[in-house]
Amino acid sequence: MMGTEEVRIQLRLYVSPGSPNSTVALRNLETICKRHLADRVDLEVVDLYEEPSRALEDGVMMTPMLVLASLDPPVRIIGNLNDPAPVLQALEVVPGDYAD
Amino acid sequence: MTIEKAQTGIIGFDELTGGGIPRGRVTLLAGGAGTGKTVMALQSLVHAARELGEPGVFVAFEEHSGRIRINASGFDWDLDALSEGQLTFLDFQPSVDLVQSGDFDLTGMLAGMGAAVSRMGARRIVLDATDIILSLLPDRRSMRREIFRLHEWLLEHELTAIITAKQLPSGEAAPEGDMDFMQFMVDSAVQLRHDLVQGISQRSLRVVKYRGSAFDDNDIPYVIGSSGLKLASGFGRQTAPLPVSGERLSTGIERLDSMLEGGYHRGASVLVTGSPGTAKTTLAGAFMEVACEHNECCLLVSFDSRVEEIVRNLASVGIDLKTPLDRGLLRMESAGGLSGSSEIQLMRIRQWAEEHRAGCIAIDPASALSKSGNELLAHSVVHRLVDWCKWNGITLLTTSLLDRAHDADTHTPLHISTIADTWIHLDYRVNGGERNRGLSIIKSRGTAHSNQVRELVLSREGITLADVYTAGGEVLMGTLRMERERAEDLSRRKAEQQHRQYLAELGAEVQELEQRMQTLQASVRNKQKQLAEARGDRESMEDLIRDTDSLIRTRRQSDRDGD
Repeated sequence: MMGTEEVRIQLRLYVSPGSPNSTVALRNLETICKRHLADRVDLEVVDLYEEPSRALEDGVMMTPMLVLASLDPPVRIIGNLNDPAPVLQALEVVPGDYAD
Repeated sequence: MTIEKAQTGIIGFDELTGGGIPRGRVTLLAGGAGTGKTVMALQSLVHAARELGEPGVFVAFEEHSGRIRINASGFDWDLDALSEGQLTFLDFQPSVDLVQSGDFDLTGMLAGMGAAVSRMGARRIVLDATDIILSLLPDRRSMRREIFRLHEWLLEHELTAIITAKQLPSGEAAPEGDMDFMQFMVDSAVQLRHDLVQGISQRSLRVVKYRGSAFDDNDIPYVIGSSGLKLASGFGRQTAPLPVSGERLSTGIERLDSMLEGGYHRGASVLVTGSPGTAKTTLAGAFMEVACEHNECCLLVSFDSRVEEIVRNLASVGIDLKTPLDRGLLRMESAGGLSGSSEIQLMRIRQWAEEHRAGCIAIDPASALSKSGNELLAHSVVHRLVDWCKWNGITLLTTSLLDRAHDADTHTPLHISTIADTWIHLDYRVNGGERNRGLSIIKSRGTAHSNQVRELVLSREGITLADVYTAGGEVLMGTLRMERERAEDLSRRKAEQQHRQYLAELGAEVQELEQRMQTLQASVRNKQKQLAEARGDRESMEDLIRDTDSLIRTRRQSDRDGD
C-alpha cells in the first residue's frame, strides 16, 4: 500500500449526456474514487456528443465506457458501474473506505 | 404521400420492388450465414456512391472492414477507386475482453456514426451484422430499447439504411424474439435464403414486407456473380427489345433451309429434340459453322462433351468449327463439369453471351439444366433464357433429349416445345435391321414448312437430307431406301431392254418379210417371163400355120377359102 501510494491512476470515462446510464456512471465513478482510490486518480470525461470523432478514434460503441488507461494493456469496462467490483479488481485495489 | 424509393443497383431487385428500398427509411436484410447479406448491402452502397452521387457509410460489427474490402475485391466494383468521401467504413467490432458492470447503451456508437455521417454528408448507411452488438445487451428489454434508439436515430438523420442480421434457417425459432421486433419496426424487410436441393445450392430472395408499396412476395432465385447479387426475375431491361426480324439464318444444311423457306428466323428459338445419337449436336454444330461464316458471333455451350471432343467429332462429318474458333467468332464452353443450380448455369450462359456479344447461341443439351433436383426451377430458367434471347434478338438453338424414341408427340422434359418457334425432331427408324436418322419439322411458326420426313445422312462431306420412300404407309430409309432405289433402277433398265428387244424383233420380221417379198417378186418376174415366152411361141406357131395354109391353098388353086 505504501509503494502504490504515489502511482497515479489514469481513468477515462466516455459518456453521452442524455443517456441515463451515463449520468449514473459518472455518479458511481465519483463515489468509487472517493471511497477506494482517494486522490490518486486523474479522470478525463469524454462527452461523445461534443467530441463524436473520439468514438471512432477510440473505438467506443457502447456507453458509458470506462477505460483504465494507466494499465497495460488498458482495461475497458462498459456499463453504469453499479457494481464497483470489476473496477477494483482490475486495479488490484483492496476495497477500503477513505471516506471516513 | 407516396414512398420515395432509392435504387440499389442490384439487377432484378429494383424491378421487383418498383424502384428499390424506401428512401430515408430502414430496410432489414435478414438471412442465414453465407446468403450474401453483406454483398448485397455493400453493393447497394457502391452503386449509390458511384452512380447516384449519394455517399454512404458501412458500419462493420462482425468482420473487420479490411477483410470486407478484400472479399469485395473479388467483385468488379473497384472499391479502391471510391474516395473516403464517397464510401467510408467504420469498424465497430466489440472487443472480446470487455468487462461489464451494469447497464449500458449504444449511444457511443451513434455518436461515432453521426460524426462520420455529417463529415461526408452521407445519404446511405449499412449496419452489417447488427445481431452481433444486440447480443451483447444484457436483456431483452435493453435490446428492444437499443433497437428503438437505433431506428429513431436513423430516421432522424434521414438515412436510407440497410440493417443486416443473421437469421436461423426457417423452422428453427431464434432463441429470442428480437428479430421479430426488428421486423415490426422497420419499413421493409427482405429475406435471403440458401438451401440445398438434392445437393444443389439454390439461393432465393423474398421481400417480406414493404410499407406503403406493392411488391412481389414470391421467392426469387438469385446468384452471386462477378458483379454481385443478381436476381432472376428481371434482366435489367433498360433497353427496348429488338424489333422482330423477318431475316432468315441458314441452318447449315441446304435442304433443311429449303424445308424452312430459307432457314431459321433471326431471333427465334429453335428446339431440336431426339434420342441419344440422333445427331442433335451435329445440327447445332452445322448452324454454328454457317453462322460464323456469315461473321456472326456465336456461343456454343455443351453440357455433354469437352470442347476439343466436339470439334473433333463434328470434323468427322465435315463440320469445321476449328476455323471460326481460331478466328474468335465462335466461343465454345463446356459447362458439364461446372456445378451449380440451373439458375447459376443460366447466369453463366448469359455472361458468356454478353462478353462475346453473341448473335447466335446453341445449348447442347438444354435438358441438362433440369438435372439433379432442378426440375421445377429449370423450367422457368429455360423460359427466361428464351425470353432473354428474344429480347436481345439472339437466335437460340437448344437441343433436348427425349428418353424414348418415336416420342415426338409427347412433352419435352423442359416443356420448351411450347415456347420454341421452330421444333425439329430427330429420330431413328428401325427397319430391315438398321437404324436410320429421320428428320421432321414438327412446327415452325411463321413458316410454311415442309411436312415431309427426310433422312438425315451424315458423311465425311457433310450433312445431307435425302428423300425417303413411302411404301405401304411407311417411310423407307438407309439400305431399304437404297434397295428400293436399285430395284426401281433395275426395272427401268429391264423395261428399256425389253423395248429394245421388241424393236429388234420387229425389225427382224420386217427384214424377213422384205426378203420374202424380194424372192416372190423375183418369182413373179420369172413367171411373167415364162408367160411372155409362152405367148410368143404360140403366136409364131399360129403365124406358121396360117402361112402354111395359104401356101397350100395357093398350090391347090382352090376357089373357096379353106376346105
